[in-house]
Amino acid sequence: MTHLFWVSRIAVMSLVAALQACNSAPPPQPVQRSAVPVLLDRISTVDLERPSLNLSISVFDQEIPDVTSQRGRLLNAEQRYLPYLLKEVLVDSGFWGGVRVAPRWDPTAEVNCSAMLHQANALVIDLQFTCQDATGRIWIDERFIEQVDVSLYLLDQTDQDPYSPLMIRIANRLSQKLTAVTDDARRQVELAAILRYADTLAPDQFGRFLQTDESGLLQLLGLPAESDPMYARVLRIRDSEYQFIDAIDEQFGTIFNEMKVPYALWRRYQFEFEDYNLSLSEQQPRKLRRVASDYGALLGTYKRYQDFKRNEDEIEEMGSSLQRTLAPTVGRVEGQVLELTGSLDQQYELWRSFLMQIYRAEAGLSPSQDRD
Amino acid sequence: MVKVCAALSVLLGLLSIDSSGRAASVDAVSAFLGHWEVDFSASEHPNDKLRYLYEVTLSDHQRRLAAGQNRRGESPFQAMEDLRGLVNLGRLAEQITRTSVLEIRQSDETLTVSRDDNFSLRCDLSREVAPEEFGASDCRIKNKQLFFELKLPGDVVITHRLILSQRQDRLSMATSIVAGGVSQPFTVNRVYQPFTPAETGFECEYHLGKGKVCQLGTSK
Repeated sequence: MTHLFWVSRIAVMSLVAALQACNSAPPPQPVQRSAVPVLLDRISTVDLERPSLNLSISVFDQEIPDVTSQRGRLLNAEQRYLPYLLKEVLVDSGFWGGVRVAPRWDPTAEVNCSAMLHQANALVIDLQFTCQDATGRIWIDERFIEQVDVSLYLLDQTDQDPYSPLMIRIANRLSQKLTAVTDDARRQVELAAILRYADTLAPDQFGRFLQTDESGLLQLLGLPAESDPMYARVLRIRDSEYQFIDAIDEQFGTIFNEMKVPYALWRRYQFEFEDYNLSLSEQQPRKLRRVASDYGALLGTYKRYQDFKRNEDEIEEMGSSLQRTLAPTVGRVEGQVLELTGSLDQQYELWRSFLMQIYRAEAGLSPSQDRD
Repeated sequence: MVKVCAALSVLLGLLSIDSSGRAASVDAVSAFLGHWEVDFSASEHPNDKLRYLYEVTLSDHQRRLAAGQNRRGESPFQAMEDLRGLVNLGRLAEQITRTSVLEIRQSDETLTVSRDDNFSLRCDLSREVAPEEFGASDCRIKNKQLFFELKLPGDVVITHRLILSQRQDRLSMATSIVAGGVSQPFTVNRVYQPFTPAETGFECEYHLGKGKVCQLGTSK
C-alpha cells in the first residue's frame, strides 16, 4: 500500500514537471527602471490648434501566471482600475479629444488601445500595450515592465499611484506618436473612424468608400455627400453611442474613485509583507524580531494584517459588482426608449444591437439584409 | 504537443484526486455552508481561559525554578517573558474572537467565511498550499475539518479550525495563536449554531453611472 502511494506520488511529480515544461514562460526581460522621475508631457499652445483625436482604452486583459481564484477576483477590479488610471493621465496631458474607458474595442473611437497584463504586484507592473488608429495602423505595440518606486509607498498614496510613472511613460509615448501625425493624416483617421462605424451599421451602403490595402490598412476611396440622409443618420446614431459609452465610462470612474484608497493601502501592505519576507531571507532565524512580548507591537501587527485583508475584501467586492446584473438602464435614441438589462458588458452588447436595429428600420433595410 | 500536454493535464487531475482524496474533501465543505450565530453558553471566554493558563504556567515555572529543574538555558527572566507573551496572546485572542455571526458560502472553487466584525477568511478549494511567507494565508481540509492559517510578521501564526458536530447543528471555531518566544499556543473555542437571517429591509441594485443604490424594500 505504501509502495503504491509512493509510486503514484512520483508519477504525479513527474507529470507536474512535464506540465511545467509545457507551460514554460518566455525568458524574463530586463526590468525598466527610470533613474529620474518621469514627467508628463503636456500639450503646447501650438498643438492645441491642431485637430485632436478621440481615444478609447478597453478593459485590460490579463495572463498572469498561477492566478488563484481569489487573485482572479481582485484582478477583475484591477483590470478596470488600471485603464482608468491611464485615462486620467492622458486627459491631464491634454493631447486628446475624448478619452474613454470601454468594456471592449470601441467602434466609434479614432484610436483604440488595449493592454495585456503579465504581472501587477506591489513591486512590478508588466504589460503589453497596443494602440491602433481607425485605419488599422499600429501606433504602439510594446512591452512595458516597470519596477515600482517603493518610496511611493511611504507617501500618502492617494496623491500619486505607484503605477502612475508607467502610465506617464505610456502617455508620453502616445503623445509623441500623435505629435508626429500630420493634420491631414489626423483628419483621414477621423473620417476613417466615421466610415468604419457606418460600415458596421450598413456595410453595403458605406463599404464602397473603404478599401483595405495589401498591408491591411483601411484606405478612404471617397466620402458620402454631406446631404446624404443615411450618412446624417449614422452621425446621429453615433452621437447616441457616445452618450452610452460616456455613461459606461462614468461607471468605471465611480469604481476607480471608490477603489483608489483601498487599492493603494492593499498594495502598500503587500509591499510591506514582501519587504519583510525579503529581509528575513537575509537574516538568521534567531535574529527574527518577535512581537509576542510587546502587546502594542503584537496588536499592531494584527491590525495591519486586518487592514490589508479588509481592503482586499473591499476590492473583491468591487470586482464582483462589475460582473453582477445591473439595474435596467433606460436609453433614448432617435425618439425611442430602450430598456437594457444584464451586466455592464451585456448592456453594452444589447445597446449596440439596438442601435443597429434602429438604423436598419429607419433606412428601410430588413434585419438580415446588408449583413456580412 | 498541445494534445500531449492536455492529456497530461487530465491524467494529472485524475491522479491528484485519487492520491489526495481532495475531491472528497471538497464535498465535505457543503455541510459548513449557511449562517451561524454564536452560542455563548457553549463558548469559551478568553479571559477565564487566560486566567487559568496564567496560573498553571506560573506555578509550573515556580515549581521548576524552586526544584532547580528549569529547562535547559531557561532563566527566571525568560520565564517572565514567557508569561508576559502568554498574557499578550490571550489579550489578542480576546480581540480577535469576538465574532458573533458567520456566513459561510461557496462560489465556484472558493469558500468564504464572512465574519461580522473582521475580514473574511477565504479558501481556494482548487489548491492546497501551506503559507510559507509572512503575510500569507491559506487553508486546508483535513478529516472534515477546515483549517485557515495566517502567518504574520513577528513570528506569529493564527489558526482557525472549524469543526462540525456530528449532528451538524453546532460549529466550533477554535482559534489558536502561536508566537515565537512563547512556550504554548493560546486557543479559544467558540461555538456557533445555525440561524436564518432576518430580512434587512434594504434592496440594493447596481446602476450604470450610479453604482450601488439601496432602498427600503418594496417586494417585487
